[in-house]
Amino acid sequence: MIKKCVAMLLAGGQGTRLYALTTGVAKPAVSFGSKYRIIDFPLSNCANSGIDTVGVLTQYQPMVLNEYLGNGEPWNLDRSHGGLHILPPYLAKSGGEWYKGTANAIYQNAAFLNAYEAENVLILSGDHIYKMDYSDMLAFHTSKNADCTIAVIDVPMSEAPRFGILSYDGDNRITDFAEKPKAPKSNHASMGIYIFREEVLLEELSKEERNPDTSFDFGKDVIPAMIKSGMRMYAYPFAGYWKDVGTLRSLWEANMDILSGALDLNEGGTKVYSRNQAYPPSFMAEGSVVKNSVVTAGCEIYGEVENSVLGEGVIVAAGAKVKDSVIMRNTVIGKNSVVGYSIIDESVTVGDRCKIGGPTVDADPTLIGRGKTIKNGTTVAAGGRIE
Amino acid sequence: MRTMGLIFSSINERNVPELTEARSIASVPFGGRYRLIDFLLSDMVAASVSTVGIITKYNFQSLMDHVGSGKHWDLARKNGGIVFLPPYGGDTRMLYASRFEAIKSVLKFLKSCTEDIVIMSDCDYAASFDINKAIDFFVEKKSDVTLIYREKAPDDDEVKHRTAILTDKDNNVLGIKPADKADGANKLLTSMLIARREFLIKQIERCSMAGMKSFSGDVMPYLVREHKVSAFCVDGFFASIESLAAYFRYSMAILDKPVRDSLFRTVEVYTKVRDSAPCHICGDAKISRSVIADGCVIEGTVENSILFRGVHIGKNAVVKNSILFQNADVGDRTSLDCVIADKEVIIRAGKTLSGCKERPYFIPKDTAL
Repeated sequence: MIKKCVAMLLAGGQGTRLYALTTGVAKPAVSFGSKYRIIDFPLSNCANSGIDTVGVLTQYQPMVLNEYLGNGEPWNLDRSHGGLHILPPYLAKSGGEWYKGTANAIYQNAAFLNAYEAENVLILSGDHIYKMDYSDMLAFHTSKNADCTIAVIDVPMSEAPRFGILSYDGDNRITDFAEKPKAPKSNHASMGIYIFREEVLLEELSKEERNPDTSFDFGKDVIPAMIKSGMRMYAYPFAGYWKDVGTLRSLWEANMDILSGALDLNEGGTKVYSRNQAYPPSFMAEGSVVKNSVVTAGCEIYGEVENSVLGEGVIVAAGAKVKDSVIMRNTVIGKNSVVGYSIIDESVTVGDRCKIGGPTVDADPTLIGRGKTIKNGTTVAAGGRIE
Repeated sequence: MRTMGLIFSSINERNVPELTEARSIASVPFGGRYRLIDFLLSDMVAASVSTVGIITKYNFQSLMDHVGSGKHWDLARKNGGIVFLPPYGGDTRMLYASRFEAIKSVLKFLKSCTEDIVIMSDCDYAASFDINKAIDFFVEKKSDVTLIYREKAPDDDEVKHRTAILTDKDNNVLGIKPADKADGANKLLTSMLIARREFLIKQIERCSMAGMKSFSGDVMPYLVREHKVSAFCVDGFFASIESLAAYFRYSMAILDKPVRDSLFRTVEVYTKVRDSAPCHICGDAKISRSVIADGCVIEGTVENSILFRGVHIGKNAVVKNSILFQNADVGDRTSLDCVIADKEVIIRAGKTLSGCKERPYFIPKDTAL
């Protein structure tokens, strides 16, 4: 049966700039926004856009991610025909190898796309926070009869050198593309979201396989080559919230954007789905102070929490003060400990009378890695990383 | 040895007519994000029960909507799983009027099952205990029937609605009698019972042939007289929903940690997943000693209260000693004390509503004030 659009979600990235957060898990599996993981956003977008077939390409530290995804049921992706499929690198009769880049990862799974006779392929990455209806983008792509459509968002000119920057004409046809240009010609940044006609995609990917100088990357190799050869490339402008959460600072900022309302989790009347554990609702004790914060099931707060995002099952003991911080699931903050401008990963035990981080600054927040135990009375200096 | 469950989802629902106006007692909300049936289903699933028949009567749409295919309790199975047993009949047949008639009406279902043991229970309480221990007791004692009881002096409500048992020192049941304050009897029966499936079918058919009418009045005394009936005691928190005041009192009890631990952490309690966003507590909010579910947006003051999913508390609103069900919307400057608001209630800005602990002020579903 023909599928109009199959999504391929690139989830193999390591995310080195997230340091200890990705020591044991792939970047898409990093906790975000109290009860979510980063990958919930593209998967929920698929569910809310009527895309029912998603291949998730995994490579780096896949165990937590695989367990989290399961059969795709939380995202309505447990389907008889289609649904969620995890696509790891595999051995074949003649060799087989690791994914050498984003383009090569898709190329190695051409058989998956062929099996669904996909007319179009939506390429997504697992490191952005945004809500988007891909069906609108697909309709745009179809109406332009495009070979490839790239979602673009306007960024401040000063930040443009960090992105892939596009120029396009009055009909939205792309005229120029530069990956991380020193002197950007526009502020239209590629969001790393592409829709390709399937046969065009597979043809371009196989060309790349024969290119001795390639790095097998969509942004660096495939897109520039297609523009150069004059293919029908269109830009689909997007105006909502979108954030790359590839660094500690940007991950922290995106969490804070929930508090300010810049990121509205219920935007467009759709929900972000996630795999829930069985936790009771949150409890705030007598004497607790919670201000401008987000909490979720399983939280128990006896101390003070301000401008912070707390994950499932987080306990803040009496006398503890948590400010401007992201505390991920099942972490315990001990009595009279003070936490400021920090990201504390899952299942961390912070003892009593500890001092973690300091006031909020422009530099990266203080970081404590997954599962660490911080002994009573320990001080972790501002900007420090316990990995 | 495999065990199945059989749940009576509407028995005793007239004890709380306010909450069961539009739903079965089994789907009455409790504890901030649950329905009463969640505790029983989760306890059963924790005891490896994989087939659960749910006997329904009136108004079970809310219950069916909540339980669905059973997937949230891992009860969407190829074999067994959740089986809804609505009453059936035609012009000539009446809906069942008693527990015994209800059991008789599902004999065919019981016969079609293959499990060795049946756990039967009503669903008019919130409690969580290790059912495995009760099953082990039933098996070790080689009982025909094991009744589940709790050690407790009956209160005024329980005297009206409950029965007590007399046992010997080995917990063999000697007799069944109405709960009475005067005689010091403190072994109050829960509605839970364990029996072998084939034994149960045989006894129901025999009692039916003998013209018995009432399960508690005829069948139970017969079983105690003629068969080996033992009793297993459960402890921990047990919220028996005998009245609206009892519902209020037991709900407020979960603000104490030992009660929450007993109810929420004995086994993992599953419920229907709604994918609400996390709870947003705004800058001017003040929250004290309260249970708050996901999806809430709190701008005002909340004390000693239980807020279900998606509740909004407006600016300078003060909510004390209250229970607000799903999606209640409390306007700015509104003040609530000892209020129970059912689902989708809107209380506009500047209102003051209060009841008292013995008689909480109840606002029915979908009311806008």
